[in-house]
Amino acid sequence: MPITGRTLAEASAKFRDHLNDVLARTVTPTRLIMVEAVGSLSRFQLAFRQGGAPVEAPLSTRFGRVGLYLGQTCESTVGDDGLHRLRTVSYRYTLTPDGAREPLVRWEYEKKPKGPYCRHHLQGDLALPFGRTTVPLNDLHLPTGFTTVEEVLRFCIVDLGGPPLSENWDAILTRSYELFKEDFAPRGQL
Amino acid sequence: MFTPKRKCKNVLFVARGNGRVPVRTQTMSPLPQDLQNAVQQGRLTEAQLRELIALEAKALDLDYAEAVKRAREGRLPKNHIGADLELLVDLLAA
Repeated sequence: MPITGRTLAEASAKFRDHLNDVLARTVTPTRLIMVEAVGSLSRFQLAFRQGGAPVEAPLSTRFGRVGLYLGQTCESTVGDDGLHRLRTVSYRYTLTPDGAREPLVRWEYEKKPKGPYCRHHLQGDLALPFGRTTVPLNDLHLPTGFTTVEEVLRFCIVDLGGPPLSENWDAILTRSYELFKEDFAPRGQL
Repeated sequence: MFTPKRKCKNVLFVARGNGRVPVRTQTMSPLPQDLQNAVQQGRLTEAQLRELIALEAKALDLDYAEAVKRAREGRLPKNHIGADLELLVDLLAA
């Protein structure tokens, strides 16, 4: 299932609908909304929104309530066949415990990072023991490689104990992950 | 038959399509209706994109110019509104 379309809107709608289907069968019925800036770059953004404003999806975990934010900016390139193919420009995935001022963990990617740090990294409001001292994880850019939405959802279910929304959530996440790795973003094209 | 466990209490539910979906209570003021409609349709003019960025900036106690500057420097608050604003700035032409 390569995510392509005759237009950016068509390709991005396929991507949005696929992710919303995965979300609804695994972690949350809260839906991602796509926003394209017409007449600007061939880019769009996906995020949870309510009334146009960004929101977090509430998750019940074994550590209490947690807010999940998923956001991604993608762009398209047009191939020889005239079809738009999507590429990720940046993503932000955050998990924020109820009442916390900022996320406990943030997975981030920037195609063009604002500094010489790793493009794919993990940060968060955590104190990390480092030898004889303690370093705030927010001061580091812990390398991660490309983190997929599916891996974050799996983390929410397996490690945080979020109740899955269907019996076959594991197969759904595995299949969607494979689709992403094999078709949406072949190696070297992220 | 698989029955999902009971989900979060005290969560705002909003109408969406044929059902109601949960979201965490937002911290932004409601957007103007025409902007909400444009977001729902998924297509914003450049002016509407700037308006959306300005409203998210306001929720962070910033004006538009300062928010865009901070987004490009990676100095916005790390909450979900700051994260969203950074992604929206990626939609702006340089």
